[in-house]
Amino acid sequence: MTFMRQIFTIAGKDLLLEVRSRERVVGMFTFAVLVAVVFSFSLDPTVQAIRIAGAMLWVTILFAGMLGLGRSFTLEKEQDALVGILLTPVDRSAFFLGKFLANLVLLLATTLVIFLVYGLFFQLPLGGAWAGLGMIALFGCIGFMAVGTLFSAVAASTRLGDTLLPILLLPLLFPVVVFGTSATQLLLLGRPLLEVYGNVRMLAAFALIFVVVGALVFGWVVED
Amino acid sequence: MIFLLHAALVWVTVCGLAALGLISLRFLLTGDERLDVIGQAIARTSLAFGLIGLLMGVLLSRLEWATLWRWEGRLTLLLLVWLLLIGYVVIRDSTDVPSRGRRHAAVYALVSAIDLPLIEFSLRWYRTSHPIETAESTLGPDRWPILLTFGMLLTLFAGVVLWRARRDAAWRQSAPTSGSPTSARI
Repeated sequence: MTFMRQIFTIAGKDLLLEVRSRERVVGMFTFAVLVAVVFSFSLDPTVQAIRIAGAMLWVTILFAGMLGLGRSFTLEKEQDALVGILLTPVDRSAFFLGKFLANLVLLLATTLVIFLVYGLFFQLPLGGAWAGLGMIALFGCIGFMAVGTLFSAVAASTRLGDTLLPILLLPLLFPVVVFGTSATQLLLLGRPLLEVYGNVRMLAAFALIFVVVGALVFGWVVED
Repeated sequence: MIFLLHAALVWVTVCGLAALGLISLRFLLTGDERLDVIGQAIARTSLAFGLIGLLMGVLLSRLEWATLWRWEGRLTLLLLVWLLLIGYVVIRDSTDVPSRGRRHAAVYALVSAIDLPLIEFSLRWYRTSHPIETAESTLGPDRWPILLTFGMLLTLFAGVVLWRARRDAAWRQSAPTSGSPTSARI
Protein backbone atom coordinates (compact mmCIF):
# COMPACT_ATOMS: atom_id res chain seq x y z
CA MET A 1 0.00 0.00 0.00
CA THR A 2 1.27 3.42 -0.83
CA PHE A 3 1.74 6.06 1.86
CA MET A 4 -1.29 8.07 0.77
CA ARG A 5 -3.54 5.02 0.70
CA GLN A 6 -2.41 4.08 4.21
CA ILE A 7 -3.39 7.56 5.43
CA PHE A 8 -6.82 7.38 3.81
CA THR A 9 -7.44 3.84 5.07
CA ILE A 10 -6.75 4.87 8.69
CA ALA A 11 -8.81 8.06 8.35
CA GLY A 12 -11.61 6.15 6.60
CA LYS A 13 -11.68 3.58 9.39
CA ASP A 14 -12.05 6.29 12.06
CA LEU A 15 -14.71 8.17 10.11
CA LEU A 16 -16.65 4.98 9.38
CA LEU A 17 -16.63 4.16 13.10
CA GLU A 18 -17.88 7.67 13.75
CA VAL A 19 -20.63 7.44 11.12
CA ARG A 20 -21.82 4.21 12.72
CA SER A 21 -21.61 5.20 16.38
CA ARG A 22 -21.92 9.02 16.08
CA GLU A 23 -20.78 9.31 19.71
CA ARG A 24 -18.04 11.93 19.20
CA VAL A 25 -20.04 14.08 16.77
CA VAL A 26 -23.10 14.10 19.01
CA GLY A 27 -20.94 14.96 22.02
CA MET A 28 -19.06 17.76 20.27
CA PHE A 29 -22.11 19.33 18.58
CA THR A 30 -24.20 19.26 21.76
CA PHE A 31 -21.33 20.66 23.79
CA ALA A 32 -20.91 23.52 21.30
CA VAL A 33 -24.59 24.44 21.45
CA LEU A 34 -24.60 24.23 25.25
CA VAL A 35 -21.56 26.50 25.57
CA ALA A 36 -23.30 29.04 23.31
CA VAL A 37 -26.39 28.85 25.54
CA VAL A 38 -24.26 29.30 28.67
CA PHE A 39 -22.55 32.33 27.12
CA SER A 40 -25.93 33.84 26.16
CA PHE A 41 -27.18 33.68 29.72
CA SER A 42 -23.95 34.49 31.55
CA LEU A 43 -23.08 37.63 29.60
CA ASP A 44 -24.21 40.95 30.92
CA PRO A 45 -26.96 42.31 28.60
CA THR A 46 -25.00 45.53 28.14
CA VAL A 47 -22.04 43.65 26.62
CA GLN A 48 -22.05 43.80 22.83
CA ALA A 49 -21.63 40.14 21.83
CA ILE A 50 -19.86 41.02 18.59
CA ARG A 51 -17.02 42.69 20.53
CA ILE A 52 -16.10 39.39 22.22
CA ALA A 53 -17.34 36.96 19.56
CA GLY A 54 -13.79 36.00 18.50
CA ALA A 55 -12.93 34.90 22.01
CA MET A 56 -16.23 33.04 22.52
CA LEU A 57 -15.90 31.20 19.19
CA TRP A 58 -12.33 30.06 19.81
CA VAL A 59 -12.93 29.04 23.42
CA THR A 60 -15.78 26.85 22.18
CA ILE A 61 -13.74 25.41 19.29
CA LEU A 62 -10.83 24.56 21.63
CA PHE A 63 -12.91 22.84 24.29
CA ALA A 64 -15.23 21.04 21.87
CA GLY A 65 -12.12 19.86 19.99
CA MET A 66 -10.53 18.56 23.17
CA LEU A 67 -13.73 16.72 24.04
CA GLY A 68 -13.55 14.89 20.71
CA LEU A 69 -9.79 14.30 20.89
CA GLY A 70 -10.08 12.51 24.21
CA ARG A 71 -12.00 9.73 22.47
CA SER A 72 -9.57 9.45 19.55
CA PHE A 73 -7.06 7.18 21.28
CA THR A 74 -9.07 5.76 24.18
CA LEU A 75 -11.04 4.16 21.34
CA GLU A 76 -7.88 2.41 20.15
CA LYS A 77 -7.02 1.41 23.69
CA GLU A 78 -10.19 -0.65 24.07
CA GLN A 79 -9.52 -4.31 23.36
CA ASP A 80 -5.94 -3.40 22.40
CA ALA A 81 -6.94 -2.27 18.91
CA LEU A 82 -3.79 -0.14 18.80
CA VAL A 83 -1.55 -3.20 19.00
CA GLY A 84 -3.38 -4.61 16.01
CA ILE A 85 -2.75 -1.49 13.95
CA LEU A 86 0.90 -1.34 14.98
CA LEU A 87 1.37 -4.96 13.95
CA THR A 88 0.23 -4.19 10.40
CA PRO A 89 2.91 -2.79 8.08
CA VAL A 90 1.47 0.72 8.30
CA ASP A 91 4.01 3.52 8.39
CA ARG A 92 3.94 5.34 11.76
CA SER A 93 3.75 8.73 10.03
CA ALA A 94 0.85 7.50 7.88
CA PHE A 95 -0.89 6.27 11.04
CA PHE A 96 -0.49 9.72 12.61
CA LEU A 97 -1.64 11.56 9.49
CA GLY A 98 -4.66 9.25 9.15
CA LYS A 99 -5.75 9.84 12.74
CA PHE A 100 -5.08 13.56 12.30
CA LEU A 101 -7.17 13.70 9.14
CA ALA A 102 -10.15 11.97 10.76
CA ASN A 103 -9.93 14.27 13.81
CA LEU A 104 -9.64 17.29 11.51
CA VAL A 105 -12.78 16.38 9.54
CA LEU A 106 -14.73 16.03 12.80
CA LEU A 107 -13.40 19.31 14.17
CA LEU A 108 -14.11 21.21 10.95
CA ALA A 109 -17.69 19.93 10.98
CA THR A 110 -18.01 21.00 14.62
CA THR A 111 -16.45 24.40 13.85
CA LEU A 112 -19.02 24.96 11.11
CA VAL A 113 -21.80 24.16 13.57
CA ILE A 114 -20.20 26.48 16.16
CA PHE A 115 -20.08 29.38 13.69
CA LEU A 116 -23.67 28.81 12.60
CA VAL A 117 -24.98 28.51 16.17
CA TYR A 118 -23.14 31.65 17.33
CA GLY A 119 -24.26 33.45 14.19
CA LEU A 120 -27.84 32.54 15.05
CA PHE A 121 -27.73 33.21 18.81
CA PHE A 122 -25.68 36.41 18.72
CA GLN A 123 -26.66 37.77 15.28
CA LEU A 124 -23.07 37.76 13.98
CA PRO A 125 -22.52 39.02 10.41
CA LEU A 126 -20.87 35.83 9.13
CA GLY A 127 -21.93 36.23 5.49
CA GLY A 128 -19.66 39.12 4.58
CA ALA A 129 -16.42 37.60 5.81
CA TRP A 130 -17.02 33.90 5.20
CA ALA A 131 -13.92 33.37 3.04
CA GLY A 132 -11.54 34.89 5.59
CA LEU A 133 -13.24 33.21 8.53
CA GLY A 134 -13.11 29.88 6.72
CA MET A 135 -9.39 30.25 6.06
CA ILE A 136 -8.62 31.16 9.67
CA ALA A 137 -10.77 28.31 10.99
CA LEU A 138 -9.14 25.85 8.57
CA PHE A 139 -5.52 26.69 9.44
CA GLY A 140 -6.30 27.10 13.13
CA CYS A 141 -7.99 23.69 13.23
CA ILE A 142 -5.14 22.01 11.31
CA GLY A 143 -2.59 23.31 13.84
CA PHE A 144 -4.83 22.42 16.76
CA MET A 145 -5.46 18.87 15.56
CA ALA A 146 -1.79 18.23 14.66
CA VAL A 147 -0.69 18.95 18.23
CA GLY A 148 -3.92 17.47 19.62
CA THR A 149 -3.68 14.11 17.85
CA LEU A 150 -0.08 13.68 18.98
CA PHE A 151 -0.79 14.36 22.64
CA SER A 152 -4.15 12.60 22.80
CA ALA A 153 -2.07 9.45 22.21
CA VAL A 154 0.20 10.51 25.08
CA ALA A 155 -2.68 11.39 27.41
CA ALA A 156 -4.48 8.11 26.67
CA SER A 157 -1.50 6.15 27.96
CA THR A 158 -1.30 7.95 31.31
CA ARG A 159 -3.26 7.30 34.47
CA LEU A 160 -4.87 10.74 34.21
CA GLY A 161 -6.28 10.02 30.74
CA ASP A 162 -8.27 12.78 29.09
CA THR A 163 -7.92 15.05 32.12
CA LEU A 164 -4.32 15.61 31.10
CA LEU A 165 -5.16 16.75 27.57
CA PRO A 166 -6.06 20.42 28.27
CA ILE A 167 -3.05 20.76 30.59
CA LEU A 168 -0.75 19.63 27.78
CA LEU A 169 -2.46 21.35 24.87
CA LEU A 170 -3.48 24.81 26.03
CA PRO A 171 0.03 26.26 26.61
CA LEU A 172 1.22 24.78 23.30
CA LEU A 173 -1.76 26.25 21.44
CA PHE A 174 -1.11 29.79 22.70
CA PRO A 175 -0.11 31.08 19.19
CA VAL A 176 -3.29 29.62 17.66
CA VAL A 177 -5.39 31.34 20.33
CA VAL A 178 -3.66 34.72 19.87
CA PHE A 179 -3.71 34.78 16.07
CA GLY A 180 -7.06 32.98 15.65
CA THR A 181 -9.11 35.09 18.05
CA SER A 182 -7.76 38.46 16.93
CA ALA A 183 -8.22 37.66 13.23
CA THR A 184 -11.76 36.34 13.77
CA GLN A 185 -12.61 39.40 15.83
CA LEU A 186 -11.29 41.83 13.22
CA LEU A 187 -13.15 40.12 10.37
CA LEU A 188 -16.41 40.06 12.32
CA LEU A 189 -16.03 43.78 12.96
CA GLY A 190 -15.97 44.27 9.20
CA ARG A 191 -12.25 44.84 8.66
CA PRO A 192 -10.83 43.86 5.24
CA LEU A 193 -9.18 40.48 4.71
CA LEU A 194 -5.85 42.16 3.97
CA GLU A 195 -5.63 43.35 7.57
CA VAL A 196 -5.52 39.79 8.92
CA TYR A 197 -3.19 38.45 6.25
CA GLY A 198 -0.32 38.24 8.78
CA ASN A 199 -2.46 36.20 11.18
CA VAL A 200 -3.46 33.76 8.46
CA ARG A 201 0.19 33.33 7.51
CA MET A 202 1.20 32.63 11.12
CA LEU A 203 -1.64 30.13 11.58
CA ALA A 204 -0.60 28.39 8.35
CA ALA A 205 3.04 28.28 9.53
CA PHE A 206 2.00 26.81 12.90
CA ALA A 207 -0.15 24.22 11.11
CA LEU A 208 2.61 23.21 8.69
CA ILE A 209 5.30 22.97 11.38
CA PHE A 210 3.27 20.78 13.70
CA VAL A 211 1.83 18.47 11.03
CA VAL A 212 5.43 17.72 9.97
CA VAL A 213 6.76 17.47 13.55
CA GLY A 214 3.82 15.27 14.58
CA ALA A 215 4.38 12.87 11.68
CA LEU A 216 8.10 12.68 12.49
CA VAL A 217 7.88 12.10 16.25
CA PHE A 218 4.74 9.94 16.38
CA GLY A 219 6.80 6.76 16.13
CA TRP A 220 8.36 7.54 19.52
CA VAL A 221 4.92 7.94 21.08
CA VAL A 222 3.42 4.59 20.03
CA GLU A 223 6.50 2.37 19.86
CA ASP A 224 7.96 0.53 22.84
CA MET B 1 17.35 44.59 42.04
CA ILE B 2 14.02 42.73 41.90
CA PHE B 3 13.76 43.62 38.22
CA LEU B 4 17.24 42.26 37.52
CA LEU B 5 16.52 39.00 39.32
CA HIS B 6 13.11 38.63 37.69
CA ALA B 7 14.38 39.24 34.14
CA ALA B 8 17.39 36.95 34.63
CA LEU B 9 15.20 34.19 36.10
CA VAL B 10 12.92 34.41 33.05
CA TRP B 11 15.92 33.98 30.76
CA VAL B 12 17.28 31.06 32.78
CA THR B 13 13.91 29.28 32.77
CA VAL B 14 13.46 29.80 29.02
CA CYS B 15 17.03 28.52 28.44
CA GLY B 16 16.12 25.56 30.66
CA LEU B 17 13.19 24.61 28.42
CA ALA B 18 15.31 25.03 25.27
CA ALA B 19 18.06 22.84 26.75
CA LEU B 20 15.45 20.30 27.84
CA GLY B 21 14.17 20.16 24.25
CA LEU B 22 17.65 19.52 22.84
CA ILE B 23 18.49 16.89 25.46
CA SER B 24 15.13 15.21 24.90
CA LEU B 25 15.76 15.00 21.15
CA ARG B 26 19.12 13.40 21.82
CA PHE B 27 17.52 11.04 24.36
CA LEU B 28 14.89 9.97 21.80
CA LEU B 29 17.54 9.37 19.15
CA THR B 30 20.02 7.47 21.30
CA GLY B 31 17.88 6.07 24.13
CA ASP B 32 20.69 6.94 26.56
CA GLU B 33 19.21 6.82 30.10
CA ARG B 34 21.76 9.34 31.43
CA LEU B 35 20.28 12.02 29.15
CA ASP B 36 16.87 11.33 30.65
CA VAL B 37 18.27 11.81 34.16
CA ILE B 38 19.76 15.16 33.11
CA GLY B 39 16.48 16.13 31.43
CA GLN B 40 14.54 15.35 34.59
CA ALA B 41 17.00 17.44 36.65
CA ILE B 42 16.74 20.36 34.21
CA ALA B 43 12.92 20.25 34.26
CA ARG B 44 12.63 20.23 38.05
CA THR B 45 15.28 22.91 38.53
CA SER B 46 13.66 25.10 35.84
CA LEU B 47 10.33 24.73 37.64
CA ALA B 48 11.89 25.95 40.90
CA PHE B 49 13.68 28.87 39.20
CA GLY B 50 10.53 29.69 37.22
CA LEU B 51 8.38 29.74 40.35
CA ILE B 52 10.75 32.20 42.05
CA GLY B 53 10.72 34.22 38.80
CA LEU B 54 6.92 34.31 38.80
CA LEU B 55 6.81 35.46 42.43
CA MET B 56 9.41 38.14 41.66
CA GLY B 57 7.29 39.19 38.67
CA VAL B 58 4.21 39.54 40.86
CA LEU B 59 6.21 41.55 43.40
CA LEU B 60 7.65 43.76 40.65
CA SER B 61 4.21 44.35 39.19
CA ARG B 62 2.91 45.27 42.66
CA LEU B 63 5.74 47.75 43.24
CA GLU B 64 5.69 49.37 39.80
CA TRP B 65 2.00 49.46 38.90
CA ALA B 66 0.25 48.60 42.17
CA THR B 67 -1.48 45.58 40.60
CA LEU B 68 -0.52 41.99 41.34
CA TRP B 69 -0.64 40.71 37.78
CA ARG B 70 -0.22 42.33 34.37
CA TRP B 71 -0.24 40.49 31.03
CA GLU B 72 3.16 41.89 30.26
CA GLY B 73 5.32 40.05 27.72
CA ARG B 74 8.07 38.70 29.95
CA LEU B 75 5.79 37.54 32.73
CA THR B 76 3.37 35.89 30.27
CA LEU B 77 6.22 34.06 28.56
CA LEU B 78 7.47 32.81 31.92
CA LEU B 79 4.00 31.59 32.89
CA LEU B 80 3.60 29.68 29.62
CA VAL B 81 7.06 28.12 29.85
CA TRP B 82 6.35 27.15 33.44
CA LEU B 83 3.08 25.45 32.40
CA LEU B 84 4.92 23.57 29.63
CA LEU B 85 7.44 22.32 32.20
CA ILE B 86 4.56 21.21 34.44
CA GLY B 87 3.23 19.20 31.48
CA TYR B 88 6.61 17.47 31.10
CA VAL B 89 6.75 16.49 34.78
CA VAL B 90 3.09 15.37 34.88
CA ILE B 91 3.50 13.10 31.83
CA ARG B 92 6.63 11.56 33.33
CA ASP B 93 5.06 10.88 36.68
CA SER B 94 1.63 9.64 35.62
CA THR B 95 2.39 6.57 33.54
CA ASP B 96 2.55 3.06 34.93
CA VAL B 97 5.38 2.13 32.57
CA PRO B 98 8.41 4.32 33.42
CA SER B 99 10.19 3.85 30.08
CA ARG B 100 7.12 4.98 28.17
CA GLY B 101 6.59 7.96 30.46
CA ARG B 102 10.16 9.11 29.87
CA ARG B 103 9.78 8.88 26.10
CA HIS B 104 6.42 10.64 26.06
CA ALA B 105 7.73 13.41 28.28
CA ALA B 106 10.74 13.81 25.98
CA VAL B 107 8.41 14.16 22.97
CA TYR B 108 6.45 16.83 24.87
CA ALA B 109 9.66 18.71 25.75
CA LEU B 110 10.80 18.58 22.12
CA VAL B 111 7.47 19.89 20.79
CA SER B 112 7.44 22.61 23.50
CA ALA B 113 10.93 23.75 22.54
CA ILE B 114 9.87 23.94 18.88
CA ASP B 115 6.80 25.92 19.95
CA LEU B 116 8.89 28.34 22.04
CA PRO B 117 9.87 30.74 19.19
CA LEU B 118 6.26 30.72 17.96
CA ILE B 119 4.98 31.60 21.43
CA GLU B 120 7.53 34.41 21.76
CA PHE B 121 6.62 35.68 18.30
CA SER B 122 2.90 35.68 19.04
CA LEU B 123 3.55 37.49 22.34
CA ARG B 124 5.56 40.16 20.54
CA TRP B 125 2.85 40.48 17.93
CA TYR B 126 0.23 40.74 20.68
CA ARG B 127 2.26 43.45 22.40
CA THR B 128 2.44 45.55 19.22
CA SER B 129 -1.32 45.32 18.69
CA HIS B 130 -2.22 45.77 22.38
CA PRO B 131 0.62 47.98 23.70
CA ILE B 132 1.40 47.60 27.38
CA GLU B 133 4.18 49.27 29.31
CA THR B 134 6.93 46.90 30.44
CA ALA B 135 9.51 47.28 33.17
CA GLU B 136 12.23 47.73 30.52
CA SER B 137 12.35 51.50 31.04
CA THR B 138 13.74 51.22 34.57
CA LEU B 139 16.89 49.53 33.31
CA GLY B 140 18.16 52.20 30.92
CA PRO B 141 20.73 51.54 28.25
CA ASP B 142 23.13 49.81 30.62
CA ARG B 143 23.13 46.11 29.80
CA TRP B 144 25.90 44.67 31.91
CA PRO B 145 24.10 44.31 35.29
CA ILE B 146 21.49 42.06 33.76
CA LEU B 147 24.06 40.02 31.87
CA LEU B 148 26.05 39.59 35.07
CA THR B 149 22.96 38.50 37.04
CA PHE B 150 22.00 36.15 34.22
CA GLY B 151 25.51 34.64 34.16
CA MET B 152 25.52 34.07 37.91
CA LEU B 153 22.05 32.52 37.95
CA LEU B 154 22.91 30.32 34.97
CA THR B 155 25.99 29.03 36.81
CA LEU B 156 23.86 28.35 39.89
CA PHE B 157 21.28 26.62 37.66
CA ALA B 158 23.93 24.40 36.05
CA GLY B 159 25.31 23.55 39.49
CA VAL B 160 21.91 22.53 40.84
CA VAL B 161 21.18 20.49 37.69
CA LEU B 162 24.47 18.62 37.98
CA TRP B 163 23.96 17.95 41.68
CA ARG B 164 20.42 16.65 41.07
CA ALA B 165 21.45 14.54 38.08
CA ARG B 166 24.28 12.90 40.08
CA ARG B 167 21.95 12.19 42.98
CA ASP B 168 19.20 10.77 40.71
CA ALA B 169 21.65 8.65 38.74
CA ALA B 170 23.02 7.14 41.96
CA TRP B 171 19.50 6.54 43.23
CA ARG B 172 18.43 4.93 39.97
CA GLN B 173 21.41 2.58 39.99
CA SER B 174 20.61 1.37 43.48
CA ALA B 175 16.87 0.95 42.84
CA PRO B 176 15.60 -2.19 41.09
CA THR B 177 14.41 -1.64 37.52
CA SER B 178 10.65 -1.78 37.09
CA GLY B 179 8.28 -2.16 34.16
CA SER B 180 8.86 -4.91 31.66
CA PRO B 181 9.16 -3.73 28.03
CA THR B 182 6.71 -6.34 26.74
CA SER B 183 3.80 -4.97 28.74
CA ALA B 184 4.55 -1.45 27.50
CA ARG B 185 1.76 -0.51 25.16
CA ILE B 186 -0.68 2.35 25.11
